[in-house]
Amino acid sequence: MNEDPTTPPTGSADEALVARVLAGDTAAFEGIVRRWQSPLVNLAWRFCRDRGRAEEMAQEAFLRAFRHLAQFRGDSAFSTWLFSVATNVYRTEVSRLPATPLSLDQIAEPPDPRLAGSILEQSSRDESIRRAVLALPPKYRDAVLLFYFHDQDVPAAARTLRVPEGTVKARLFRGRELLRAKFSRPRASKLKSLTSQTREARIP
Amino acid sequence: MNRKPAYPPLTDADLDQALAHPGDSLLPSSGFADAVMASVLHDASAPPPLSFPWKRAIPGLASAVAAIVLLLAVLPSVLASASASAGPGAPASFAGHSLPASLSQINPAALGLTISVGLLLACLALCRRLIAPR
Repeated sequence: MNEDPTTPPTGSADEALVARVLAGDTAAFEGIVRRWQSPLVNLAWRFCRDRGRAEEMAQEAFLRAFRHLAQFRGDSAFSTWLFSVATNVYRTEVSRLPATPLSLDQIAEPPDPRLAGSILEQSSRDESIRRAVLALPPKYRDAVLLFYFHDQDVPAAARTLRVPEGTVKARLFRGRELLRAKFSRPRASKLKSLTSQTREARIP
Repeated sequence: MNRKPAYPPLTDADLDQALAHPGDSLLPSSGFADAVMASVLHDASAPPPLSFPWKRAIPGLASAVAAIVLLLAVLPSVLASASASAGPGAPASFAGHSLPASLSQINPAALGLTISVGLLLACLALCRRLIAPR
């Protein structure tokens, strides 16, 4: 999904565009926008799961990148810098207006397989997991989102988050633990209902 | 009997399935790049933000700092003078201070008032300097 930021021709093309923009050719920024619009919108989508908002957030990220382009010194790949800028924008945006105003406990769980059996669809479970990720505490949420955004590449996620790889691994581990705990928890109401149904069925 | 419900545990494979799914992505709408460029061009054509006028502010700031330093230097003498004129109940810490002859003639309240007015005028002058057209 994401282009490899370490590919030399790509990196040099980006740097050439950056140099043109810094030299005053604002229109050259369009090359950067067209090249990176899909990854940035996609990353924004993962942070908010709302199409309109994702595009607004990505637009803000491009604008922020344009304003601070002079701060890109070429120490790292342009994509790393751009994803970092975008991640900061998205983090700020979702902390201002959360993507999911619910806590992890309030996120809907997939149906109990004992009750629903065949109607349990994989897609609904997947969607529940994605929603639950958004309800994780921000540092775990960011690590999980960036890890999967970068095709499960821990070093890339660490570079984007500007934290050591070990920190990303620890946060991923903790985030997964929280998700496992969330999706392994028995639901009292469902269990009660199941118990009463069973009891009624036994009474002639 | 205490039976644990048979929920299937969430595995890493489940997480990978949900979060690394190729279908879980969003493509930008067709006009997205144009909208971004419109906002970028608008931003580029906007005048740059005004920087703080340090050249104009430095003399005023320097005089304000000098006034504060002067105030801090004079204040103990003024207080000592006031306590001396108040009589034998004055704090001992001021007893050792000897006032210059010229300052001992000045009413402490008048001196304080003068310094306050001076500071106020300095602030006003600084404000006028900062907002004056170049």
